[in-house]
Amino acid sequence: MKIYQHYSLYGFSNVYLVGNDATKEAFAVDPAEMNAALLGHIENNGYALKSVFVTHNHNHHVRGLKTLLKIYDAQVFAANASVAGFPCRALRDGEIVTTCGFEVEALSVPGHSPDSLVFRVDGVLFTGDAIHAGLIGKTLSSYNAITLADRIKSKILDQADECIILPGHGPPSTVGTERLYNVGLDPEYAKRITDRYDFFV
Amino acid sequence: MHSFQRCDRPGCRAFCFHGSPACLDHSPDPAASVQAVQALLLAERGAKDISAQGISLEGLDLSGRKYIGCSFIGASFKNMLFTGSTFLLCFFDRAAFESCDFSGANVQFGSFGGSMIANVSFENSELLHCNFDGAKIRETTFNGSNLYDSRFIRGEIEGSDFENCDLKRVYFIPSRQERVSFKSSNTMEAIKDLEHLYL
Repeated sequence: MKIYQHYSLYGFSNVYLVGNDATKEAFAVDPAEMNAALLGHIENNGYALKSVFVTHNHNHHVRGLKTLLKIYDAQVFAANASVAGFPCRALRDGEIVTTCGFEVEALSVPGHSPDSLVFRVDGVLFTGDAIHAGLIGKTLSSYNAITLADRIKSKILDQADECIILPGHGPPSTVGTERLYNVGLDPEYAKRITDRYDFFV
Repeated sequence: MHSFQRCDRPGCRAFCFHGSPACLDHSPDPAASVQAVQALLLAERGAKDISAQGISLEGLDLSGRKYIGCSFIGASFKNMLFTGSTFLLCFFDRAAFESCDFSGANVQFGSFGGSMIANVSFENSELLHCNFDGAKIRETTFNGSNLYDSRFIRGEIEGSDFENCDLKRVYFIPSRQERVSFKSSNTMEAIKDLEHLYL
């Protein structure tokens, strides 16, 4: 498995390209943008882009879909049947899709948004905005923060310590590191979320 | 990326060490496994996709090399030279660094979560999108480095310098900070508390 991380200045988001050198196929995760650098990663490796996985339908994670789907005939996978006006194959919690020679498992982790999915491929978790290095995703209420933290604990932190977290923003991490140091998983964290705070992420 | 194949020892959830059916602890010949990985790391141009979890290395010169998609989780490095080396998407979580030199290094999208970093130089380095959450950093210098979008959340930083650094979008929310200098660094562009997180 080859993973390319691309830092998109649009929304300061991470775009990932996962390639299989054996089948010469690839899929993208959260195409915040589609530019020459990403196109170069795909074409210079001779990949055929087969699928796109969307962790959640926020513009700074899907804006590149329009250009990407003009170039490649890729199937889009997300929690909903439509993302940014494009039809998707809607995934259920725990559903496993086989694409490009990889098994991709969708895990529903709502809280940041109702449609938030985490995609697990082997020991790699593409977490979108559900969890970031040291933080959890922005939520609009303490209820959502508690829901998100609970889902993270039951679906992400039950993976092995060495499993890699590749988030929608910021640096990568591992499950072991997040279990110990993520401030969003602190029980007191949710109590701090009120309207006057401008939590992002 | 490095291998995500599980150790063949029943009950062990660790990933296999490079070239072995087991993790380093359960490898049939740990010394030979370490030696083989050491040879790969010393290759002139560097290495890709190496799984070196738990490896202990001392006194090696790995300067000027390029490493991509490698895992050094739980590794131990002592008196190592990484001067001018490049690390892309490499993982050093829970690793221990003692008296190492990363000066002039280019580390992008790397994770040093929960690592122990003592007497290490990261001077004049590019440390972009790096995760130092929970790291215990002691007597270490980051002077002259670009730390854009890196994170130091719940870390312990002691006797260390971040002078003349680019701290734009750097999360500095340490649990403990003693004798730390940020002289001539753009601390106003760093994020220092949970009330001012932004995108």
